[in-house]
Formats: sequence, structure tokens, C-alpha cells
Amino acid sequence: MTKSIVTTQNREPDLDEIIARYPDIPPLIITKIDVQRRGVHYTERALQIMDDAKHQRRSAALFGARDGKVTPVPESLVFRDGTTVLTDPTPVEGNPYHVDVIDGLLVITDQGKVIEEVEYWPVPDYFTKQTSAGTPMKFVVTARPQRLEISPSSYCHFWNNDKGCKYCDIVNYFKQEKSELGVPAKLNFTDITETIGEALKQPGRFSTICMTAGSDTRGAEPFDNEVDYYVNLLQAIGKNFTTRKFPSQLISTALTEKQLRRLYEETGLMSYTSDIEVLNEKLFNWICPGKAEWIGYKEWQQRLIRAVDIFGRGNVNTGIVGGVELAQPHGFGSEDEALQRTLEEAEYLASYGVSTVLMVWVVRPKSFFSDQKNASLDYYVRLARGLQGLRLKYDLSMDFDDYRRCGNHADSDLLRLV
Amino acid sequence: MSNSWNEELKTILTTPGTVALLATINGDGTPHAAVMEFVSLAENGTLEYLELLESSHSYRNLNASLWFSKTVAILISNPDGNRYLITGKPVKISISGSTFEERYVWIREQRGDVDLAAVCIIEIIDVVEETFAVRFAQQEADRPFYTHLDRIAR
Repeated sequence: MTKSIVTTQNREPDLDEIIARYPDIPPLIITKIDVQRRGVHYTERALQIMDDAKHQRRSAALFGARDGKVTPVPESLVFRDGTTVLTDPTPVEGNPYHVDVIDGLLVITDQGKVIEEVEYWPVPDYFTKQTSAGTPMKFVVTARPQRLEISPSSYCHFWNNDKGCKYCDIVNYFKQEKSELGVPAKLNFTDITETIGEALKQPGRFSTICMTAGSDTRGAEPFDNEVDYYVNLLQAIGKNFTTRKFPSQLISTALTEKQLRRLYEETGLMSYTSDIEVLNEKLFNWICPGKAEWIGYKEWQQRLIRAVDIFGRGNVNTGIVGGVELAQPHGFGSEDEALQRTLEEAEYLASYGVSTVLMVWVVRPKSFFSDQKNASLDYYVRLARGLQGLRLKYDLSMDFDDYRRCGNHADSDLLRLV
Repeated sequence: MSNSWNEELKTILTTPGTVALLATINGDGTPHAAVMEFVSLAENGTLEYLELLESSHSYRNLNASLWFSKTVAILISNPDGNRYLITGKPVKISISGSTFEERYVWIREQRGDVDLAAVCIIEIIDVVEETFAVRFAQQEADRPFYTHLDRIAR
């Protein structure tokens, strides 16, 4: 009897219970969070209806999947409200949602119960083409349903002295992709110009371009090499546009004002993101030792704030790996404390015009934190609601990183209501 | 909903000069109305509405209606005064994929350099004829107390 009571008390509320608990948060968005939190397993039936002429298979990516494999399964899912769900294959023993075909419809299920109808991501036309140098274009620029994505280098120099972020598998996964898929180590600018040009031939397919890569500490001043590369990259992309500026987002290391001015003035870049990853100095130093060594928590915040003067209010944000603040042994002891402390720091940034967005922490097998567990669904819903609440309080728009132009942040999906 | 209205709705929606109005409410109950320039009846009996403005109140409210299972109202009126009031439920919003891209190309052929925010699918729950002559005849028959006496005086 006692044992049964303990089990009930420790049981996490399920999806239906959380939906009932938060009537102001759309059930589809809560479902998205949980699918991101738990991952998916594709049944044979679901894989059989995958059509290469219509659907996108998993392509080159910065980070690995929860199953530790590079497998040609569907890239990911779209809900019936157009919401993009970024999730990845997860071993069945990890209790993922199942993607299945029931009564002729592609659906996600949980313990056999149909949760939602879904679609696979559409494959862009350029994915079957090659650049003039013979490089498959799908290795040069990847795609989300409305976004072009360029990861010019999958190497992060913080890993040189074993100071990569503890939740991250970027370098280990890059080595796996390079050997198993033949993904090039570094992109060349002609390939990029040609691939973007080809992608733009598909009307209505894309609404933004996002660039992100590992940090490069080298240069006359730290990270100058990274900036040089992005300037050249953005100029190569810009050759395809009639306007000087084009909808775009750079996710990079926190750069100095001088470096940011170069990016803004010499390229068509319109927005700037620098992921602080965890909103607490002590945890930042523990979880992101490379970022702490080269820049530091307080300076990272100040660089984000100074970026608002250059890119404008509503065009600068930072990402956090939601739930990593609970990693043990040094993380917060409770979800209530983690939420309060995280939102306090996010509010400080918001008061200076910097938005914070949430990425659900995916525990990756090739990362240092491979044996940890992410947070509860209840926590992620409260975090998403809190972050969106700060945008409302400080009247912060964030068109460059919303449901259409990104799709990875449940909190910014809520911008569709305002 | 039964398909009995489909042919009439299809006819009226394709009649030149027909106007369709979309009425929605936002999260705090504020009402909003907008002209639906591009709305059609699909083969499966749903309405397909092309939303051109991503920043519009209608789009936000349609989205909220889908998210929280709320209904919307659509009033259709043709130049002859025939009117239908539709109660509908947004069930799908496409912002990518083949259907979205087809409509994107089509709308730009129709309207020039415009953008397309979404293809919104609205399931029809109910249709009521609101043509004045029909409604007035109904009222005369069903609600005899709604008559001014002078109209029936000797």
C-alpha cells in the first residue's frame, strides 16, 4: 500500500493532465513540447509511406539523434496548425511517441492512443541537385519547412582543450557524419551561392536563412576568424538578392561590438542570436566551460545587450537549453527554483531588449551529459509561458525566430497569438 | 454537416460580386471582421481561405480558434441579396508544403507581388440562409407577435 502511494506521488503528470492544468496554453503546443522532450519512434508502417519525391529524410545536421545513429528516417514532423516539430529518433526503451499509420492517416500515438495527425517535412526541389563542383546541394544547405539552414563548420574550438558544452555532441557527431555520409568539413562559398540560388527558384518554399556553426576562437582578436567566415558567407548568399538586407539570422558566439558592426554593415544580416545556454553564472561556468573561459557569463550578457543597439529591438535573442539547469550534481535542486532563477535572468535581458528562447534539452548519447534526464513536461510548459510572458511585458517582437522562421521554440510559437 | 448546401455555396462563392466576411474573436473576446477575398468550397465540403496578411487580426484569431477549438462566422452575400451565414471551425492551417506552394503561385498570378501567409481550412458546422426575404417570411410565419399592428389594421 505504502509503495503504491509513493509511486503515484512520484509519477509525472501525463500529456492530458498537463493540457488540463494549463488551459491558456494551446494543447498542440504542449504536445509539441512533449514530442520534443520524449522523441519519436517511426513504425515500419510509417516508414513505408515515406516518399522521397515528397518528403525530406534526415540530412546533415549539427547535432546527433538520441539513438546515436545516422539513419535515413523522415527529417521530422508538421502539425495540422503548421507548427514545425523538431524531434529525432529515440530508442523504444526511452518511451518515445510512436509515429504510425492508423486508418490511413499518419499520426503520433502514445501507448497505442492516437494523439495527433501529422505530416512529414516536405523535401525541397534543390535536394536532388548538385553544385557545379559536384557537391550534393543537400550537404551545403539543409532545410526546414520554411527555412534554409547553413552550418558552415561543424567543428567547435572549445573542444580543443575539452571545454565543449557538456550537453553538446557537435564534434563527435560531426566525425560520425563525415565518415558515414561524406558531409564536407567546410563549405565553399561558390557552392553556397549556387545552392541558395537554386533554392530560391521554388516559389513560397522559404522565408528565411539561418546560419550557425561551432565557435572558432582564432584570429587577431578572439573569434575574428569566425566573423571573417560569416562575412564572406553572408556576402556569398547576398549575391542572390536584389535587396541589400534579406531575412536572415546568425547564431554565433557572443561577439564584440566591433565584430557585430562589421557583420551588420558589410552583409545583409538582419538579426542576431547568441546562445547563452543556461541562465545562471555558476551553472554556465560548469556546463559551458569554453564559453566561460573565452568570454564569461556577464560579458556574454553585455554583448547581447550591445547587439540590440546594432540590430535593433526585436532582432536580438539568446537561446537556452531548457532543463540543463537541472543537471546534476550542480544544477538546481527543484524545478520551481530553476524556473524562478531562469526567468529572473531572462527578465534582466528582456528589460534591455534581448529575448530568450527555449530549446528542449535533448540528452545526446555522444555528449558529456549522456546519462542525465531532461525536465518534466510541466516545467517546460511553465518555462515557455514565462518566456513569452516576458516578451509581452517588455513589448518585444521576435519575427525572425518564430513558428515559421524557426519552429524549434515552443515559447515563440505563442507569438502567433499576439 | 450535410452536403445539401454545397451546390448553393459553390455557386454563390463563384458568382462575381459576391462578398464574404469573416468574423472572429481574439483571446480576450474582442470581435473582429474582415473581407475574405479568396475563399472557396473544397470537394470535401470544407472552406479553403487564403490569408495574405501574416500580421492580420484574422490570421491570429483563426489560429487561436484552431488552437482552442473555437468557432468562426462567415457571412456570404451575393449581388442579388442572397445571404448565407456559416458557422465553421478552423481545422488546418498550412504554411508550407505542396498545397501551400500551389496556392502561393496562384495568388501571385492573380494579384501580382503579394505574399501568402497561410492556407486555412475551415470545417462547416452549420449554414443558415440569411437572405432577407427568406428570413422575413420565416419570422412572419413563426413569430406573429413581432408584427406592428398598423401592418395588419383594416
